[in-house]
Amino acid sequence: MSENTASDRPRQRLDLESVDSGSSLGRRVRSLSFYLMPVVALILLVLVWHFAIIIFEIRSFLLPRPAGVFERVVSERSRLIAHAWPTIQEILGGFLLSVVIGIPLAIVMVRSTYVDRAISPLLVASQTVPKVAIAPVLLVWFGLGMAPKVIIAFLIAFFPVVISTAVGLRSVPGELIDLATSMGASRFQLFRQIRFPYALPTIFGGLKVAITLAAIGAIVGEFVGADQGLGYLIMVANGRLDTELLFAVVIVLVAIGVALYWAVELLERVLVKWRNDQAGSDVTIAALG
Amino acid sequence: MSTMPVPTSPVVRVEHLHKVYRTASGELVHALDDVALEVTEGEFISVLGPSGCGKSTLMMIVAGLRSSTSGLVEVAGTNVSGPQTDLGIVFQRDVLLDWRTNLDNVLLQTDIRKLPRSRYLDRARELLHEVGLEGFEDKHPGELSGGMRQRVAICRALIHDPPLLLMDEPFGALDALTREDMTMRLQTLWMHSRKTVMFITHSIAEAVFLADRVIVMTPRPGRIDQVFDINLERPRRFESMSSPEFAQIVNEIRDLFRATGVLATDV
Repeated sequence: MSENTASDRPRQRLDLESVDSGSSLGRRVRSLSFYLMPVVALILLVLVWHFAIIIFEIRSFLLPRPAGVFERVVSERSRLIAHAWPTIQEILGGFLLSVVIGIPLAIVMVRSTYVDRAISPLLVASQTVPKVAIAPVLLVWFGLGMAPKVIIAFLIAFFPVVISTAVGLRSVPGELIDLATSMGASRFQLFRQIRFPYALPTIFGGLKVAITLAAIGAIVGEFVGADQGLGYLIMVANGRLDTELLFAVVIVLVAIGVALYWAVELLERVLVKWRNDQAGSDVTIAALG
Repeated sequence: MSTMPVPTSPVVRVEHLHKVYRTASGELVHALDDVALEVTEGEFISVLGPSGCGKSTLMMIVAGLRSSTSGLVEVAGTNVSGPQTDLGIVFQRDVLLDWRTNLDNVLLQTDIRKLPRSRYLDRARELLHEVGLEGFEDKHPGELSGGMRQRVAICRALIHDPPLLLMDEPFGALDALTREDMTMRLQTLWMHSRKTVMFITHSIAEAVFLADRVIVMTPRPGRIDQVFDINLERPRRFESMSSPEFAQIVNEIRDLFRATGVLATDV
């Protein structure tokens, strides 16, 4: 009983480094180039940008030179940081609110068909309302502070959280529920030991969409009325036709968005160590498409 | 000193069992029709039938995980009115938890039952060893082949030493070679433990090879067609499959399936 038959060997993880038959140096160069790819792509993009301006003689108020933009990022760094901070707070506030409200809401919806029937149409309806249209009203209700921005970020971000959590919780195979029931599992055990961890990769797919949407929500809120934040700074730059500053702000905004996305991804790696399928990313793609 | 066998009440007793359910499209399906069955302690029975004959439904009703429409279902002398917990179940899908190691997957059973880990840790390792998975305790199911995963699932069903083991086409998703291997392993495991086993399958050879008794069911509505006592000597080997006794039983079952239209008669 102790040996395994040939057809029964453990599945090997596909490991590009061990498949590569090249020298150890070659392998190192290869894995380095793997990590350098995004940087290479970025440099190429900047080069195209730079030479397009020279070749097509684009004037700087239409499209500034990359070097000029980077100079502004450096020279205006204290102003950029000062305005970035409230925006980051709004993004995180909206995102956390979407998690704290979205996940429990999905849990209740999955548990009760009645709640699901009642809430689902409202959820979809809430997503078709253009946030830019209701932003002024929120400003009237909640003032010029951070609150309306956090709420707009939340309103945009919470939908993918609810959907991905519900999808994840519903994807638990019936056999697994039957099995746990035959073990005498309580509802809480079923949720804690099986349903929730099973749904976690899918939930993270939604969280990754949510964090990027929260960034958009915060900027939309700031566009409508604010006296600080990166969205406010964009409006200021726009008003003065200071395209260089506008691009500098956009670059900071992109950096913040990417960093927050990575933070969520890092959290996923810590919490979902076991994952070897692509369930989460599929949801990401589906939600974005 | 040997003791005389004491007549005990059967581990599973089913009488006049009917199951009718309505499909999502509103159609009424008569899944089980007047099914009667007794499984005595330590017996290995195979329930054999074509797809959709209600054999899985029968098992789920015995487990108390599905309701019956009418009839009597008893496990260990008590009426089944809700989910039974004093048993082990293996499904066709192994449904292992990817985030638990193989050892922890086996111990899911005792974790959920809130049994002390310290008491079952050695037993879990022993079981994994017995099915040829030593060295894989701390690996995750994602690193195992289908046959190995199913072995972990079998260990999970046995760790709490249940008096009854229910298996619903446990090797149905495995390739032919792995399937043969698993059939042998299950026989060895069963001969060590002598648990009462109810084994659902649609493979005639598998049913006959493993069981003390083969219960052949008709296509829907599922009725018990005939019961075969398999008195082949144990441990059975694959060579036993080519023995005249084995061939005879298999042929008789084939004839039954021809009579009910499960197998074509003119080929």
